[in-house]
Amino acid sequence: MASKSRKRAKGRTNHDPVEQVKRSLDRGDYKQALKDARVWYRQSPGGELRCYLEHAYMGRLQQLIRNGLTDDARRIAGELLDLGVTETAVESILPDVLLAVGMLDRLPQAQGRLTDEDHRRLAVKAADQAVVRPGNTPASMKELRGEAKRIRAALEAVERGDEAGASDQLKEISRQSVFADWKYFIRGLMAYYRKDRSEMEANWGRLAPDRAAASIAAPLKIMAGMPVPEQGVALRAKIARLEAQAAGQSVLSSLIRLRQLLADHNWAQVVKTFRVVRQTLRDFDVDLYQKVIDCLWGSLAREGCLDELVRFSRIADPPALDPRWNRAQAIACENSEYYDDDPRVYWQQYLDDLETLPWLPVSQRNLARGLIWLHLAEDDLEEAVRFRGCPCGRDHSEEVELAMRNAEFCFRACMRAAPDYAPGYMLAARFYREEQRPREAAEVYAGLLERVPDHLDALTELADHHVRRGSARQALQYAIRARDLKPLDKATGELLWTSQLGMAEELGRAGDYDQAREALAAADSVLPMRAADCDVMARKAVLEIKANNPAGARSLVEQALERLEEPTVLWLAMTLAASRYQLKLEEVWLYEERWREALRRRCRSSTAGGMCRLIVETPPAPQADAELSKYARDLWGYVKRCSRVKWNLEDLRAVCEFLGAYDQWSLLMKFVKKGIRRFPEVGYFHHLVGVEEIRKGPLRFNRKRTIDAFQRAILLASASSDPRDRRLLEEARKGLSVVTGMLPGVHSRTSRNCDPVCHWDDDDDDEAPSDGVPFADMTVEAIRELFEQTCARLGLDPEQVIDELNKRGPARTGATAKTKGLV
Amino acid sequence: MRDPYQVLDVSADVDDAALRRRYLELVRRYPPERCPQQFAEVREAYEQLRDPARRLERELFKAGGCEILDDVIAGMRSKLQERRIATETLLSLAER
Repeated sequence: MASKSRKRAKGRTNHDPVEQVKRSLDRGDYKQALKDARVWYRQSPGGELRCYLEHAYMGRLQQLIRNGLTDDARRIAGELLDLGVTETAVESILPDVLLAVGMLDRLPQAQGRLTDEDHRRLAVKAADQAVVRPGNTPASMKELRGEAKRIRAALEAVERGDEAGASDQLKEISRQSVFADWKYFIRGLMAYYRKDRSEMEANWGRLAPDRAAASIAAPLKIMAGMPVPEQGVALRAKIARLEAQAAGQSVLSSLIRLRQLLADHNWAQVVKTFRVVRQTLRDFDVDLYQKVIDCLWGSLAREGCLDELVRFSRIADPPALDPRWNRAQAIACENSEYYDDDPRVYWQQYLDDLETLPWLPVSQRNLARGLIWLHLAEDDLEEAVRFRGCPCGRDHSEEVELAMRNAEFCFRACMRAAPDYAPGYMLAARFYREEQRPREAAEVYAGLLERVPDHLDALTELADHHVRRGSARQALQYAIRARDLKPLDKATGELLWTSQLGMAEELGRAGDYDQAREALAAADSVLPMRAADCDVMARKAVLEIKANNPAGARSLVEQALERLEEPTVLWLAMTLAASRYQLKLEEVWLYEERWREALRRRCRSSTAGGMCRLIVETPPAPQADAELSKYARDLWGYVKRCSRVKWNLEDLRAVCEFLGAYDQWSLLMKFVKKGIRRFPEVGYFHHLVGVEEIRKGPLRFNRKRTIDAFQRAILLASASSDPRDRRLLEEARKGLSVVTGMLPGVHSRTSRNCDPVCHWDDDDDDEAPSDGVPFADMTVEAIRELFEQTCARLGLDPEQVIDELNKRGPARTGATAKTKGLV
Repeated sequence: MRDPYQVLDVSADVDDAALRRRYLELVRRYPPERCPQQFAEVREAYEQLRDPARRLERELFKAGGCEILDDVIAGMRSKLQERRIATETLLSLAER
């Protein structure tokens, strides 16, 4: 030991004492610096060493305060004050340090050099300290201690829930007081517990940011969901402390962190963080834990993050409805653009899970299985639409057929799994109807009626089906049942009326004239306003001819003619009725000739509309199909001549419907143009523009024009009160979705559907035509490059394609005009 | 659209009668002429839950996202805000 002291002393003598102290100060070793400075200062007081001694005292003092050694700090502060402070830098810190050790009452010795600003700052600090650490406030500062006591009393009153008591305590504190910040803080705190956000903001918004009250308010603001500019580590620690006091654990912080990670799409970190906090969440509240799991798997599945979902499923408890995570993985696959995994595999496994899922009663399990089959069927239909709209130019008919077969299988499986779920039947029937398979659709409706005998839609659809097939007796049965269910409904009324007309026809053909007349009278009673319609009068007249009552027939024809401007429509109605009632051919020809004769007259809107309505609305009798096509051809001729007619809306609409029904699209579009010009507020004509564009196919349609047309149709149909526009609205929306399906870039999950040739958007993003850049905005060079790339993909010769395009006539749009520049 | 269970403040296993009771209670609280937005929200939520098939369909195919966590956080905040914080704990937050 002695040798060590000697060595130290020897060492010291070798160095300048000032240098030695300075080195210790620089190192932050204030204890050693103070020790050495004291020794050397005692030996040779004054000069430079005194300066370093004061700095060493101050450094040591601050160190002790930081370490919470207040008593030692007080002793050192006393020594420093006894020594006296001469250094300006030390003097400037001294008040704060004295305040911290509760010796502010000894400050007057040094007060002479303090500025007003220093005084204000010290007063504020002293006030904060008096509230936060009252023990450090000298007993001599009675006034300060009294006010601080009041603030603490108010805080304790708030803690007890005694707001009145807290307000009483705050009354005495003026706005100019250094405790005013505490007053605002406590008022804000009361608002915090009341969840009065505006009051909270009003009070806490007034806090000076460097005051203690503001530091307390910051974590509370976060707890209340208010914005806080900076959220550092210290603030997070404070929130955790608050939560621990309020709830026992820091759950909110974990949730806020997870939320932030979700917002940042940092999926890997989400899973890692959940692994860390899951136990805390579960211990806190099992329901909350389950909700967080729902949120996380849902987010991962929605984003198609299959890998992360699999990792997550290893550490999280599965949802009650999905014990093996198959449903979650299926949804993730559906939303994934990068995985080849087929969601069907997971859905199939989930169907197996549902067999034994204890959480659901059997009926619900069956319904769930039905719903999944339906979901798969819709997926297949979407796939078929994607293939149909694939712009690659290859023949996808096999894929389409496969998708449709799968859809059919799924619809049938749905009906088997959930036999009481009516929407399953309705969607299946709609599928068959759209596939032009009315017999299967009728079977589905009949199946539904077995389970739900009063299903109105099934009854009306079946009635309609039988009307179209000409089996009036069956149609009538269903129409009567539908009418009983909804006696005031216009559509069921019309269906019953049509069925009665059909019934009259059937009876008339069988020679049962009285009953046929009764059926016609019944039809009149269902829709009395249509009793005098040209079509009905013609049917009645033809029945009378058939019943060998020419006088009656003549009278009916005369009555009908009186109501008409010209007889053309009536002769067509008579011709059709004569054919349907199977009059003798000579009689049919007689009316046919009269009609042809009348057709030569000047064209009229009402005549064209009336005839078209007759052809479209009258369901063809099976044996009269050939005649109907023949009459339709004659009617085209008439309609073609109607170029200078002043159209009535309903007539023009009937003409368009007729031309659409008989696939006369080029003629139809002429009338559509007229319709848009004359009736721009009618959505129907705009809709037809969109339909016509879609008919052109993915390589020829004009995207902008189609979208504009459907959007306009949707807008107008939504504002219309016409019941027909409700159906139009649905069709236009469907059309719009088809347009997006025709574009490259819409192949979601196409990687499992088409081969890479079809994937402009999947594999060669840099080469693909951008969905977001319209052709009109591209340069000729860019279009040329794109065109050549596309030809190369499809194995076509660009020159030949251009020749073909030129043969097809002039460019119709800006885009095609630009392509002319390629030649 | 918010989670309908949250809107109606009912649990996922609520029965039909309780669901209807809760709906009527909320409709009385938010009449359409005074609170049209809340009324519409409550109605939409009820429509989603009243039909067992629609409810099950929603359960099967929904993939909840951040909105669930937002609701959880809001609920959590509300719960924590109700708990009184000890004065000493509050004052200890003054340390920077």
